[in-house]
This record gives sequence, C-alpha cells and structure tokens, in this order.
Amino acid sequence: MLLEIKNVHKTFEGPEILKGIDLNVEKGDVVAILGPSGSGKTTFLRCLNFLERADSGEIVFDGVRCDLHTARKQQIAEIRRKTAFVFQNYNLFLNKTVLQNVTLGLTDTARKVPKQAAEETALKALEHVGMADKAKSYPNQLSGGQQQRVAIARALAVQPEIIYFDEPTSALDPELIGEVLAVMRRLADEGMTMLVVTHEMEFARNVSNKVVFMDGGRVIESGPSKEFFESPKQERSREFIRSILNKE
Amino acid sequence: MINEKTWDTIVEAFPKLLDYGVRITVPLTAASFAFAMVIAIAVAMIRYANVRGLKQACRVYVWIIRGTPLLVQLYLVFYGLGHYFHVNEYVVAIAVFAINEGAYMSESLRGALESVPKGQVEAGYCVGMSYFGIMRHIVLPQALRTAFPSLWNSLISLLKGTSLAANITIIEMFREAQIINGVKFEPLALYAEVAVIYLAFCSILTLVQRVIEKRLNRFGGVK
Repeated sequence: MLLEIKNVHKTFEGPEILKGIDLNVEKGDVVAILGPSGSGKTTFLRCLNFLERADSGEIVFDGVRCDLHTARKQQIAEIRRKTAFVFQNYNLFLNKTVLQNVTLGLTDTARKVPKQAAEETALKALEHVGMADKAKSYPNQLSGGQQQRVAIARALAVQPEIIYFDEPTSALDPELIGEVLAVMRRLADEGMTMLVVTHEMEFARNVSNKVVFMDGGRVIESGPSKEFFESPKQERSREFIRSILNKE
Repeated sequence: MINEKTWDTIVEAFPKLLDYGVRITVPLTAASFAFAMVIAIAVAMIRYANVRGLKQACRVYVWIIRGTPLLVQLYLVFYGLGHYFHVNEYVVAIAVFAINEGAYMSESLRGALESVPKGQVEAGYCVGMSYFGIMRHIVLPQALRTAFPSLWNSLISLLKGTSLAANITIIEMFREAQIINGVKFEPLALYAEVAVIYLAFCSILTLVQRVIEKRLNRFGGVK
C-alpha cells in the first residue's frame, strides 16, 4: 500500500466539511474523486498535502505514519517531498519562465539538484508534456491548457510517488481540456500514481481504475471505476451518474 | 526683470548648482533610498508574515513616522540629539530620510505583498520550497514589480526632500542657491533656476522609470 488515509475530519468556521474520510491508494492507482460541488473533495485533497490543516486524521505514506493535525514542519516537508500537486488554476510562478518554474523545485529545495542537472530534468519533463519549445516563455504568454501542462511538468520533475490533481481541467476553455487530459492519460499509462479530483466523467470511467464518490463530507461509495459506473450500489451514486449523463 | 546682471548671475550659478546637485543631492538621495528600501522590505515582510511582537513594533514605527513632519524629525535628531551627543550631519540626513521614506515605502510594499495570489505560495510549498525560498524567489519579486511605480514615486519625493538637509548645515543644491543669493541678491532668478534643475533631475528619473517598466513588462511581469 502506497498511501493509507484514515478518518480525515475538517471543519471550517461552521459546518463540518469532512466527516471522516478513509481511502487506500496502491502504487500505480489512478483514483478519481467525484462528487457534487461542496462535497469536500478539494478540501480533502488539500489536507493530504497540508495546504489545509485537518482537525484530525492520519496518513501512512510508504509505511511512514503522519498525523494530519499535529504534523511538524519536518514531517510535512517529508510528505511534500514525495508528492506533487496540480492546481485548478495552475499557480505557475508568474515571475519565472517555464523552465524556471520546473527547475525551482529541484534547485531551491532540500533536493539541492545542481542547476545544469535540474535543467536537463526539467527539459525532459517539459518534453513529456509537449512544452519544451516554450521553455523561455512566461506563464502569462501561454494558454490555460499550456500552463496546466507546464504545471504537470513541474509536478513530474520532482519525481513524486503520487501526484494530486485538484480539478485540473475545470478552469480551462472546453477546447483546451483535451490536451491536458491526454497528458494525464499518458501518465496513467506509464504507471504514475494519481489522485484526481475531477468532473471529467470520461476520465473517471476510462482512465482511472478506482472511483471515490463523495457527498456531504462523506465517502458514499468507492470501488473499481467500471463497477461504479456500470452498477453503482448506492442510490445517491446512481442519482449522481444519471444527472451527469443527462448533462452530457 | 531679467536684465543683463540677472542673466549673468544665472549663468554663473549654473555650474555651481549643478556641481552640488551631482555631488551632494544625488548621492544623498541614492544612499537614503537604498537604506529606505532595506527598511521597507524588512518592515513589510514582518507585517506580511505576522511576526508577533515585531509586527506591533513596525506598526508603531509607521504610525509615528507618518504622523510627524520630516523637518521636525530632522531637527529632533540633529539639534535635539545633537545637543547631547556628537552627530554627523550627513549620517543624520541619510538616517532620517531613510527612516522616513522607508515607512511610506513599507506600506506600498505590504499592499503589494498581500496582492500576490496565495496560490503562488501554495505552489511553492508543494514543490518543496521553504518559506524564505518562496519569499525570495516568488512573492517578493512579484510584489516589488507591483509596487514599483509607487516605490519610484518615493525615490522622486526623496530627491526633492533632500533640500531639507539645508536646515541641518549640509550644503546641498538648494543651500548653495541660498548662499549665492546671499551674495547676488537675485532670489527669484536663483530659486527658479534651482527649481528647474530639480525638475530636470526628476524628469530623468521619470524617463528611467519608463524604461525599467517596459523591461519588467517584457519579461512577462505580473499584470
């Protein structure tokens, strides 16, 4: 088991957003986290990387136990070193070139990769997402789809054991979604472990091998993608799938 | 009004005024601005990062400095403290100018720091950068870009403000005009002349600002 997540709780002023989430991720899994907006998917993902501090909960990453509420700086740094995060609105460093965006995580972190080696790694990662020719551009000279592909290269370059994707295509114009999904599909085929909060049903059904369906801060149903879409067990899941299919 | 004698005074005074301008006013401005920048960055970062204790001290600093006149601050230090301690007029001038303008600049910079999207910081954490690494490479450069016009404003205001140093025995460009006037007694012509030289200096700074901003924009910059 690469990652075990146990009983994550989170409350923002007022209602409880996460009411005890459990999830197991095996190496090579591509897990799609589905659910209506406001169901806590994004908060859950952010808790795993300490972008939000959970009220309680625990993860076991690669055999190393870590409390999501009390973790210290050192532990947080260790977890983050093994993971990467792709944001809905890309969050590329606006004052850095595409290449620098990818190398910073290598050179200016505990990884301490020498500059030249970092640039080679970065260029390889950029090639992988088809963005090597834009290495010298700045983020605001790129389309949303291109920015998100650079963000994925930035995530890849640090050779994480898992990549968290927080609605990676939700901010994109419809015609740009395909290029990002294609890159993600390729990563999945190559065996990258991915945890993806998404509204892309096609991706959830055909690329991910597991689905977690959340609603109201709880996991309603989880299991192999095929099963979830072909024979959902819970009434709430059926409803959700129906409403999505109707929209499509 | 402008007869030959007046004209001669103007022509004669010009190289002297320019000399003091270049030798005293400009270095005084540059040194004060450099120190003001250091103060502004430190104060703005402390307030941005919410450092307990220090944050309150910084607020008090900005409150006092912005609430008292620059001329009074100069007098307070040079004549007030100078009454009890030996003080050097240049050190006092640079210190007071830097501390004064630093307060204003820290405010513009703090606003700019806060305008950098939180996602930039989160992305930095997620690739494994430290807080200081993120500040140094990501947040501060973007904030400096945003605050640039207002920081440059401070520089221009400092340049003109150095004329107050005449009050604490420093002979800079304006004091030199006063001295020449003491001999020639052509106040209108001489003060107009020194005003034009200040205007020229500030115009150069404005041109430089345009060049720098163009360059900052070309390098992607932050819109």
